[in-house]
Amino acid sequence: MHARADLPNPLPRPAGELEELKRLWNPPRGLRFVTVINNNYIGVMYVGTAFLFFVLAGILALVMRVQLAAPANDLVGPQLYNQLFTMHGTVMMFLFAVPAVEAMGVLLLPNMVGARDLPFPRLSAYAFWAYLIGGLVFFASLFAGLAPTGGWFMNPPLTTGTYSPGINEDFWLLGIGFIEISAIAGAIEMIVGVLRTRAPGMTLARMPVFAWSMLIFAVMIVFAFPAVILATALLELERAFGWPFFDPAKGGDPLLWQHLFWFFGHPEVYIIFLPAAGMVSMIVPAMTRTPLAGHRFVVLALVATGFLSFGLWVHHMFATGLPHVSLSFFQAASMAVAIPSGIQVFAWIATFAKGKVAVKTPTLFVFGFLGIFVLGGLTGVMVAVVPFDWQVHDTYFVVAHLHYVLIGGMVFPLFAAIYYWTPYSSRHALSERVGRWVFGLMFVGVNVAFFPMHVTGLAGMPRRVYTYAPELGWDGLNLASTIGAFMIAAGVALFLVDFARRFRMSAEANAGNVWDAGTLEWLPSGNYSSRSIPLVASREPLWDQPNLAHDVAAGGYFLPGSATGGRDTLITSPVHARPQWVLRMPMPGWPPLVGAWFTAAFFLLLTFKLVIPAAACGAVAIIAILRWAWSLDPPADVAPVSIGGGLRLPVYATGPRSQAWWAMVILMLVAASLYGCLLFSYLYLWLVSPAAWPSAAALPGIGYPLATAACLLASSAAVGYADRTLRRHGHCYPLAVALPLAVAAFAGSVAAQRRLDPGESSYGAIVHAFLVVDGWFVAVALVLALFALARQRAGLLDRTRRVTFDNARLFWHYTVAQTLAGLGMVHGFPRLVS
Amino acid sequence: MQTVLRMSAGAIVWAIHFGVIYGLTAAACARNFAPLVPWIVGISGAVAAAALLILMTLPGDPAFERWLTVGVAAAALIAVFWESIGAFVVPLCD
Repeated sequence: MHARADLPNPLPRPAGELEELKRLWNPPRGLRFVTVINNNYIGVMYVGTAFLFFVLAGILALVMRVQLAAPANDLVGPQLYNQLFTMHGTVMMFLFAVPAVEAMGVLLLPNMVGARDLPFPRLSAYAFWAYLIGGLVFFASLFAGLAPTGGWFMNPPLTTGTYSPGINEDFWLLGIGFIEISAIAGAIEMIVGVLRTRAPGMTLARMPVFAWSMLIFAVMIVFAFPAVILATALLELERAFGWPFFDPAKGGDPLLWQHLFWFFGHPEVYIIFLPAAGMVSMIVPAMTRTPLAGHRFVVLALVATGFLSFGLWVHHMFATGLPHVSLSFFQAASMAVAIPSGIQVFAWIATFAKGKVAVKTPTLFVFGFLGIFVLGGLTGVMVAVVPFDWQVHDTYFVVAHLHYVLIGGMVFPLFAAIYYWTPYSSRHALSERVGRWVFGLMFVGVNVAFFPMHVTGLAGMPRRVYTYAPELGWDGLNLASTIGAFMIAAGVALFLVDFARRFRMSAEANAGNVWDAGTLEWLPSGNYSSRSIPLVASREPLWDQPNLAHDVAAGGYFLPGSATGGRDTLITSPVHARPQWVLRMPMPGWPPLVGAWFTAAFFLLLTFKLVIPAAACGAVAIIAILRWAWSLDPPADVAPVSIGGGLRLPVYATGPRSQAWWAMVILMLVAASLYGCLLFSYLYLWLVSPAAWPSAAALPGIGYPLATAACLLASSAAVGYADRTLRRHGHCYPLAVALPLAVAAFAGSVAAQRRLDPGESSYGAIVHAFLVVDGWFVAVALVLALFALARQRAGLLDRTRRVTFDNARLFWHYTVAQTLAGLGMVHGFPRLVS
Repeated sequence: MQTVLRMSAGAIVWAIHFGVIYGLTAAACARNFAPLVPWIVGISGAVAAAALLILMTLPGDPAFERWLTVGVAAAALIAVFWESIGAFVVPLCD
């Protein structure tokens, strides 16, 4: 190799540098392989697991289609059919669609943005294992006849204890609530990864569209998923303890569930679609060898879709009797959201028009996506029109619409992505010849299966019926749908055969850039991602920087080896991607795995009401997570390191420069969204049942909330003082004063409501829900504060090494502000309105 | 962080506006204050539009981020206008 001095690091690189990098990033061997945390391994396992659930839920769909192929069929009885459609929808939405796109993010994002890994790789591993175990046990409930039966949206009153006794619905509530927590963990990882670990020079303008889509996807999860977590918690509280949130006889309202569920449920559709659109925006330029047309407008469309989708939830509730004016807002938003989707479709078509199209299997799946998704979008605009929706509500027309949207908008792009990115993860690309058959079978199958359902629905066939009478005339259409479903299954089976034959996972000897694509994930790579971290000068750096792949692989760019003696990656500024510091990354270990296993066990045992074993598993999970957290904040007194280009960067950061600060701020947004939903629930129940609310005279004395507020504010002041002593004197012991103050504040809140029965009315239930949530947050704040004090005691926290304290401080102040807002609502609002 | 917030500002204004018109009109309908609905929607629409127009005229840098800030605000403005129309053309609280 010739000597080169025009790069950030001169070539050739010293002997042994690459070998050291390989050694550090190699996955563990033997049994310890299960502790692997590298994104390329976790990503592939994540995608594989999501695909497993796709196949399992697809098999359930085939059983349903066989049942419906002929009228008055008795293959499946009504009870089992209820379980089948509930599990099919639930597994497809919660265990396949969201995890699949999140998994693609885990797999692709670090390489695509030029990072060595995601910033919290152990969190990815935790999220994956929690999802795998929780998902498998949830699915297995079907074989014991314990699967839920209330439909994938679980509307009460059908799902309350009165109409659904037994533990079937509890499986859904606890299982799905738990899996959503795993999705939120992944979302925090994505946001910090995209905003803080991009390669130098990769400004927001040069960021790949897939990274944009994953950023918006993750932000949407942050705001949407807490609603369903709260909803599942409220319904579980009603089922377990009789707190009547949804019981009209006691001032509750079943529609509260629908509001909370669909506040999550409609954005969920776009949460699935946006990453898929992001994948298409990566595939189309590569397959046409031309940059994406209207790049800026595509990014704007992603952002606009993201926020407008939060104004659509009531379009699932058009038939519930809401005022016309309310419906009009949601009808307008439902129509408006079609515009940004249309912008993207036109951008893809324009890119095809201006480039030279290589008609390979990924291209075929993108064509299929365009046709099917546009048709689903058009029927979406139809059902956004209130009077039309009233006609087709709960008919097979809606089934046709949602399958066109979800299969077109997510499944076809995912297949395109698997065909497109398999050479990135595998020694061989998938077969082109077989791929065309797979596409053909799936494309024809989808249209044969679902197009007739529009007609079946217009003919009046309702959803979720296990059979129908022969004289209704629906048999021919249903038979066609069944034939189409089996064609899709044949396509998927063929794909699996080809995948088993051709996919051989390898990071270092992958098939490589077979499409001649322009983005960074196609750089030569290994378990450490790319050998060095490039300086990016355009959106398609591999097209515009001719020697980039060679120079990166030779180690000529930033951080060509380990700068810190361990795993590390660059942290850059969120907008301009300027290098700021070097993050020391963790090595594989057991705590995340043990934490995930026992967290899953905790929730699952709780479903069976096995409280003591559940508590034991919960304790093990907490110990494992604390053990994991103990290693999170490494020593701060380490000298800056050289990354090349004359840059010497620190290896420790606190405050807004720290990745931990960003994660904590995002976690607080999750919490704020959950608490916002709780405040909404309170106001909603008051609006529908004012009679359940007490008069001002019947409320607890004003002394209770005032004393509670005083304790909370005093605790915040103590935490603030601890911050000062840490900066000036190197210790945070005043934090200990905050602990009893927080306990006293919570005790005051509980004492104020001691005469209120949570089972008597919706008012009592929602006030106690505040106590539960406030208690949870106070408990977490206490644990964080005790953890910081323990680290201080162990000599692991000082005036520079203080991330643990900063996180505890942020969370503490947030908890105080949130609890004060709750106090204002519980004690102030009734006084105000009475 | 400031740039990220500024780029999101249009969406935040839209969200607040949407929450206000939905929440207050629902409350007005539930408590028999239907005549207030057009006023609620009109006033909150005007306030949101003014905020978005101000956002669109604020100076900013670099070019892409500024473009996106204006673009998101413009999309929000269109959505605010479009969603407000219903209050003036449909029966209010039926």
